[in-house]
Amino acid sequence: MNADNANAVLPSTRPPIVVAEGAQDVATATFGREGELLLANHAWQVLMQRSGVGPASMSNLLSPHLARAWAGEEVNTRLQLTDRQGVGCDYQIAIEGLQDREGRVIALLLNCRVVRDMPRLDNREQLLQARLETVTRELDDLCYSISHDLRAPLRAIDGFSGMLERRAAERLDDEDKRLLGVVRDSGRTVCRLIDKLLLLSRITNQPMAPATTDMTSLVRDAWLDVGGEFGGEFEVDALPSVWCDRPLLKQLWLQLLTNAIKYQQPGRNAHITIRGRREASECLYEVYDNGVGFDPRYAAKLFKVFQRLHGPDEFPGDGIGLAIVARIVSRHGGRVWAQGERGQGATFGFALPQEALFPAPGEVYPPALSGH
Amino acid sequence: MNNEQIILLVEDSDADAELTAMAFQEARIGNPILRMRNGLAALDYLFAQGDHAGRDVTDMPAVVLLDLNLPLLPGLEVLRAIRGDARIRHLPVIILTSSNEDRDRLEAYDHFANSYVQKPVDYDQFVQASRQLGLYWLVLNRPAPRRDV
Repeated sequence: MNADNANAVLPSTRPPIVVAEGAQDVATATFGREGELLLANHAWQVLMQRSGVGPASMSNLLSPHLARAWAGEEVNTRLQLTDRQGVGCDYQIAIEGLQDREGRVIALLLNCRVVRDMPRLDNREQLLQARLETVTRELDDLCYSISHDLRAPLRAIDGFSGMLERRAAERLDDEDKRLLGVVRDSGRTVCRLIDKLLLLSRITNQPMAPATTDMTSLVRDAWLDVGGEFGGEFEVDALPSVWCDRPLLKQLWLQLLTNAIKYQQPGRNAHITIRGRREASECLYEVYDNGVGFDPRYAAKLFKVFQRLHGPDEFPGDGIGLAIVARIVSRHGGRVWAQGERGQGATFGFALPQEALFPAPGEVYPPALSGH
Repeated sequence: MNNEQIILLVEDSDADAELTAMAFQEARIGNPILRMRNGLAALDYLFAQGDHAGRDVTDMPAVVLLDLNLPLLPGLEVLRAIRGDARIRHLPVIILTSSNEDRDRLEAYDHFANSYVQKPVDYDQFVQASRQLGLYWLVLNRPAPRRDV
């Protein structure tokens, strides 16, 4: 579009004029400086109705791209919108600046084409599947913004109360300082919990890339990360190899080993042993320790999020480690267990199916979540 | 070390900007910190345009501390614009963000970030990190010489 045309078609009044011409499958709109819609074709209106996105939130969604276009760049990008039924649809969006005679950008022209259409939903199952994909993606985005946005105020709580502590050091008595310390500790606890919950969410949602994995070397690998300061004896039997996602299983071993190290019995020479065997159609692995153990009546509670059998004064922790273990094992179609007595040590075990119950490398698992 | 050269901080959160300034002060880094609240303002400064028209483009910050989530223009786009311009493409850019997500780290390095640092929530660790950043980027690191383009 040249400068003359642009000047001719840009109205100064609102609401937008709808131009019912041009390609029916390309939604076209023109935006002004404030992000306001100046001009749109029929396909754009259809798109708006279908997606259920109001003009204001549309302009918000597009604002980083519009900003680039105002800076003189030609923008090509993809955008996902969700329709009123909660099903996602992908669009290819091109934005270019319309210039006046002096070459100043005075408006933006946006063309929007459907790349991946909303699925034709012939039956209820397909609709549910499509919804599930969309919800999974939204959950992913939610976790992402939590990791960004929740940390900033926590940093401010810790930073500014620390600053107050330092500046007012001479004016504060011991009780005042203790109270400030509680504020800072609580902020850090929330932050640790966020990190753990994000880890749990990633473990639940990330695609798996399973392969035959040498468990003995994986355990030794994990031990290098966490076993450095352990003063007792550590022993690994020859473990059966198994079909699994290596990064997830490494995470599992990190959690089990950390636990075994943490719950040592004071005054006793600590001993951790890892054993494994094949049995029926499963590969079984067990971690034995001679630590403080636990009350067997609560064994089932151990694998639930935020459940702890020891107070934070006894052993620090937040009750997420074993939930992560259970989640990883369940994604592999396996099972977990715990055995122990108070003061008599504990055994944590899991079994994975010998045969692959899930797809080969490259395929996304579970298949229902293949929207990424 | 040139104490006059500025540190360009691109950060939308007032609290974070103040904390960063205080952390650098506590870490005894004397360079003045110039703060931009969004990506477009940062580019206007670096390219000496808009509010900063007439500034000498070759007078570069010692280092850019760049947040990822920024209004108007995201951090990665700022980084892309810097790396795409011969006059300023050698500018050291450190991504300083709350995020430790794999995809953010990967994208930052894909766009040729010099470094990626997750802002610690613990303020004492933040001061410690600022001290190390200052020591490395303002003292040890030798930047590219000026080039006339």
